Amino acid sequence: MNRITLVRRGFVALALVSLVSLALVACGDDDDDDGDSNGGDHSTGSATIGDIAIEGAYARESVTDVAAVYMTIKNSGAADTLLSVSADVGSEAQLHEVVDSSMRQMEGGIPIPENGEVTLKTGGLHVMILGIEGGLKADSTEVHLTLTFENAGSVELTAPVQALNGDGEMDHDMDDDKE
Amino acid sequence: MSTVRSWLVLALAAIAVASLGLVACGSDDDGGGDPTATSIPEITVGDDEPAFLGVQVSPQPRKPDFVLTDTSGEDYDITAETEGYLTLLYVGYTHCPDVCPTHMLDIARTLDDLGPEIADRVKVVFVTSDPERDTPEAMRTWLDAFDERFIGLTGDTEDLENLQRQLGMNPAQKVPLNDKGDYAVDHGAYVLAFTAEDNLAHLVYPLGVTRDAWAHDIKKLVEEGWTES
Repeated sequence: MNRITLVRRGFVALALVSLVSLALVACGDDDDDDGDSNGGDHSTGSATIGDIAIEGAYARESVTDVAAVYMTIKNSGAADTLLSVSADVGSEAQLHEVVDSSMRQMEGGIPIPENGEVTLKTGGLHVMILGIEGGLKADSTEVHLTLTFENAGSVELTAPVQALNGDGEMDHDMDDDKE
Repeated sequence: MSTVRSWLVLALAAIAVASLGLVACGSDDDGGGDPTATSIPEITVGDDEPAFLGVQVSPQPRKPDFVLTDTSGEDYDITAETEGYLTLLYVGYTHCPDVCPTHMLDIARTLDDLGPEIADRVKVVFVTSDPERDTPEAMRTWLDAFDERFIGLTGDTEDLENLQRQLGMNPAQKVPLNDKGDYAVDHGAYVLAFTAEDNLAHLVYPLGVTRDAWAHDIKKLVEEGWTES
């Protein structure tokens, strides 16, 4: 019961963040990126299974033994749930949500609404990979994930690793006209 | 454009109200009540039309007057070392997969974009909320991945907890992730900007602040200083 309330609160926060990003993109440049990532490589980072389409998946480079993976999950059918994720790096992958400065595990999985979409992004939902010996290096690594949905079943996905020192951002100009 | 600006401010304020409010309320949702929560001063968000995109807070936390240990193992007197600089202070931990690296990355790339004339007048101070794992060496390696200028501080648990209380945050708490000893650390998830003129944090930056907003505010705070809008 508690969890459902928190999930909803998370969605509200995500929606606000998204709207903020959209507003800035709308008055900024023509880049469609929201600024939290370089979008990764769209030739990887995507997969489909049944009514579920995964897009824009990427992992973030990490110097410690933990890393986050982000993606958008679109659902063109009935409600489903992302039950679990496994990765070919690290000792374990968990589904997390940051709510009000607290990180919590999504023990029952992440609900994917009917004909809707859920975005895993910074400050909200993410996949946390633990126990990556030596960390996750950009450019030399890809992360191979298996996502298991309650209804759609399991699908494999390759996520590129986004560099920390890359200029993975949209602000190539400072938008002086916004003053 | 002013509509967009106002909207952004409102949205950020909403996020900040949510996060600051709940930080002050503690984590009773998951049953791990915090006995210190009652002593945390309430932070409210101002409703003036601000000249800055960060979230104005009142009362403004004062820059913490602590001597901690930096990444070379030396004493670091926060007040003395950061005097005269715009000081961006963040409490976090290196085994943090999401919020901490996002803040560090956004600030580092923003300072790169602004160039040394601005960046050299800013000090970024990362105070660990996980002294057990964040040795000076571990913090240095992690911070260098973002910006070699970033300052990393650790200390004894009591000092670190008192510093967080002074900032109006609940002291960080360990959250077990499995039965193998892995843990996360819940902590205040926003950056405080202590202005050079008065060493007060008039503005804080929750997650969701874009690099555009960061660039706008850092440049303005460095070049013009803090002004009540």
